[in-house]
Amino acid sequence: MYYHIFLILAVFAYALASGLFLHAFPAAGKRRLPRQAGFALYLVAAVCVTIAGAGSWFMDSYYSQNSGLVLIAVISWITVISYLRGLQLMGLFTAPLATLILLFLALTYPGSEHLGSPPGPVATVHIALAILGEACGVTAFAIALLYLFQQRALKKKELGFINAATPSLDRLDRSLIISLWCGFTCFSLALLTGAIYTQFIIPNPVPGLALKVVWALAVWAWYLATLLARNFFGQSGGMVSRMSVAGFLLLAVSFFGLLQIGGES
Amino acid sequence: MSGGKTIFCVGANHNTAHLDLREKLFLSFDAIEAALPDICADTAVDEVMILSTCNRLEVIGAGSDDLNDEKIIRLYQAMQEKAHGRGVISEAKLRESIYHFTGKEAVNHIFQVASGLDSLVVGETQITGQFKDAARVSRERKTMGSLLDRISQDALHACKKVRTLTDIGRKPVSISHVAIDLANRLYGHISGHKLLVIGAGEMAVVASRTALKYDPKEMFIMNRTLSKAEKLVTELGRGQAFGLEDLSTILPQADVIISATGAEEAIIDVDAIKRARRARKNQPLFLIDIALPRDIEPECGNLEDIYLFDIDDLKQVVGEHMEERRAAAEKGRRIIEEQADATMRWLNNIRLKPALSGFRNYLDDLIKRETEKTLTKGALRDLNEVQVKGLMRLMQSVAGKIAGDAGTHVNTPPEGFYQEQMAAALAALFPIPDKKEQES
Repeated sequence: MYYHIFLILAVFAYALASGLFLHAFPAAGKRRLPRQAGFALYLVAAVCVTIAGAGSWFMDSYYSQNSGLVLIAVISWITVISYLRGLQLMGLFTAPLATLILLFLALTYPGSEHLGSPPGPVATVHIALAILGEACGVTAFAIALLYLFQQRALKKKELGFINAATPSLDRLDRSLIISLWCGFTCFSLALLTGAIYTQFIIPNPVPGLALKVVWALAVWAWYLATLLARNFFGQSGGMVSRMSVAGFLLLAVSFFGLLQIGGES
Repeated sequence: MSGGKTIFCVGANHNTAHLDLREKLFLSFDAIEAALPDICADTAVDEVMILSTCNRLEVIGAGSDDLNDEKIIRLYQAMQEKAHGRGVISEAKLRESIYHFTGKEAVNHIFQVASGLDSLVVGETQITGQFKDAARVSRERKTMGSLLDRISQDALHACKKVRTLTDIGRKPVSISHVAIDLANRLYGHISGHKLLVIGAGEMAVVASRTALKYDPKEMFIMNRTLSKAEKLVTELGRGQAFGLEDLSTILPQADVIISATGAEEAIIDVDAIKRARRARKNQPLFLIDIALPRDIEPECGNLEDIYLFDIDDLKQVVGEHMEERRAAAEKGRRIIEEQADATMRWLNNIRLKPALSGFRNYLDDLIKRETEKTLTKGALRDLNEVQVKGLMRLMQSVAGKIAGDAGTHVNTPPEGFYQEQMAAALAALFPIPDKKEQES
């Protein structure tokens, strides 16, 4: 259980990083130091949560919370890579989210369902794909919010807001579509592997499965609609961003709600 | 002051003289070429250069130590009367509009002018080219000596340092440049995007030229008179020319539209933009209207995915950039101050050189005289050649040490004394010939 210290460190680092990103946000072009300090803390938190996630996955009994830690680790590393590739304010949204999820997991741990022995290969692939899909959904949400802020600033002609820390609408739009496509692909494959797992591998039905399937299908359908709106109906970047934010809310309900019921979302 | 010379600068600029007066003060290249030898004909002035732009007229020179403020002002006045005729500018008006500096103040001012720190648009680069031209003309007319040559080179060096070490020229401050800068910021970089410039006037030309530096994917030049658009495309060496009748065809293709025509009424209306938006499948479209009266209906900015910026928005950016330039200019002034100090140290060394080299010559003469006397008549007349050489080396070494110590004390005088006083004391204590005698 030594990795719990990393978990505590991660919570503090995420919380501090959130504060620094929030401080940097209104004048991101000028407040480089808080932004960079926020990123440094975020990096520390990403390392801590990765260690904690790996520790819980391999060394502890398998609880549904473990996949929550892995999800945060994946989101964190996507954020780190995005920062290094120019999307420097994604941490503004993912850091508070990570803090919230970690606190939520800490409060519920180990109250949820104990899944006993580690899952088999099909279930592992299903869980991994679901985690990746959720991470992409969170990334799309963060990019969508940046897009909406940027769009609002442009409409209000707050030109000082447009700077190196807030990439162009064009770039945000492209990043958003990539995240949505990646997320949608992962969700589709997760649904497929989930169906194989429940139909052919597990002998008895999992409690609450029907609700999980309904939510998972709802989330999948929403992302499909978002992609169709963009690619086939030519909806604007603003509309797609708003749909991505709504998609994230569905995802959040699915994640937090189903964690309470137990098992993977 | 240097070697008996004073560096001076006398002039008027946008801060001290109204446009009416600056118009009268302005000197053409021909007038400058004619004025330079006349100024040098004055016995008090040895070297001179004249910098004349729409915002300033500066006379920079070096002259004798007795070139006082009154003489400098009269010099400027005489130059004006010669160029424009007596009475064109009243003496009183001229006197209240001009400033004059000597010594370090002059060097500082010259460096600031050359670096664009004293310009109306702080940090503009055109003045540096004008300063170079002024120095070239002065050199060609042989009114530039070693002193002004050094000052002008130091000024350009200071300018380079200011540009390198500060952000003074990083952000543009002209409307056309800001329009392209904004397009770049909106798209991250316009290199992958299509740009439409409407108009073929000065602002459109500047915007097109600036845009080309960023290598847009495609560039369309559109004008009511097609031939003008074609001419601009030929000048630019890139792009496609269109008449205004092709607007509806080209509009959906462009990602950024910069409009700078002289049209009396808007040439792009909401319906045209709505059609373009549909054709673009709601891809963002940036409209930058730098025309006055406006070329694009302001209501276009209310449409989703359409981002419209007019000249007032750009002026806001220009203001922000100017503010940043002013902050950079403060840093630049500190750099100039350091550079001016270095130049003044060089000037001081030149000034002290006659006294110090005269003292060394005096010591050498003294050694020569006394050695000859001692070796021919004194007790040392039986010394052989090697001993004589050794003795001479010893004497010269002692003289070198004395001259070196004297130089150190003159250059770093005790508190309450100036270098000039120390040099004068040296000249008074020893029979040092003055500069002209040394040269003769």
